[in-house]
Amino acid sequence: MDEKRAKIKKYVEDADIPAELKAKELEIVNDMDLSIPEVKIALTKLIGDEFDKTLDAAGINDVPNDPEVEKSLKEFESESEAAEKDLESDMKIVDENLKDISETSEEIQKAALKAGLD
Amino acid sequence: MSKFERPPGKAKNKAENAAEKRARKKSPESRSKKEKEPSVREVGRDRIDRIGSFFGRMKEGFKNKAGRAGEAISKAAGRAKDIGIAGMETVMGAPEAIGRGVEFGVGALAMTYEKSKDMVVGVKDKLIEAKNSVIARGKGAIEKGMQTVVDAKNATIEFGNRALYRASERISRPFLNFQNRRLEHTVRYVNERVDRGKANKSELAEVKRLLQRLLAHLEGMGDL
Repeated sequence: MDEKRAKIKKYVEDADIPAELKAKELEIVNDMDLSIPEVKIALTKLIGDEFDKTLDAAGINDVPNDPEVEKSLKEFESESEAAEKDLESDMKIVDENLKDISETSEEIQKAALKAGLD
Repeated sequence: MSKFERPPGKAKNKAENAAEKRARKKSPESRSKKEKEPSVREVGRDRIDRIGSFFGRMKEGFKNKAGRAGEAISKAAGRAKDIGIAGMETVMGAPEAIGRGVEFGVGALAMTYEKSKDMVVGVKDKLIEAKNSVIARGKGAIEKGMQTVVDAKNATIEFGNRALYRASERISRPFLNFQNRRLEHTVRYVNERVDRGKANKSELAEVKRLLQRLLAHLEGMGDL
């Protein structure tokens, strides 16, 4: 296991979060390539959850709104929405191609069966 | 109907409307609705959870369909080999090309998303051509058809992985930025509470420690 993975694994193991979430995060750290964005997202979410849990435990649940935070939330929402739409459209191309691949393969199989019988 | 009864559908008078408005304003239902308005942290968490589910569904669908396409190719190659079609050894000898599916992280490779998309759009026409050719010419078109489906699958899987990578990359930066700003703002707020004597220093130290961990984590991963 590389140094980075071991470091992140220790981070997750030490985090004060529910066991179920911890197991899920450890699965990500163990199985995935750490350079991929999904790992960054998962770990950042984990830190946020741990952070919120600490605040809740301290009874701090009245954090006022902040324009900069709201702006960054809006940016996150709009970019993620656009990314989802693009991904949906890309995966439609992928689905159609895979369907065509399956159909062409079936035609090949039929042609081969027919040739075998001739 | 007496003159004091309102016929069905007739508009209420102003006093009735105002009274109803006041009642609605004061009702526990409307108060709880206002109280239940989600916070920024809840909206952000809900959004990232929904994105996670969306990605999960996309990946699962991709994996299943890629698996089915791989099986169809294997069966076709097996049949073609049985009747002595040349070139099937190469196809069968490269099971990784046939069975290739979702590979996390492949999107980080050198080929760009745009180039990969151009390629995958281009193979669609070749597939239709190969399918029609096999239907029309039978055995004579099998070898070329097999090569076309294997190439098409490679290009399609490559693009699917790249599209998934690209989407998660687009989402990660604004999410990391939002989370960082939210946590920083919270630390400032807790700091102010400590100054006002409404929170103790150990609470501030704890949230500060978590913020430092976030920043160190983001820095280590090449962000912010």
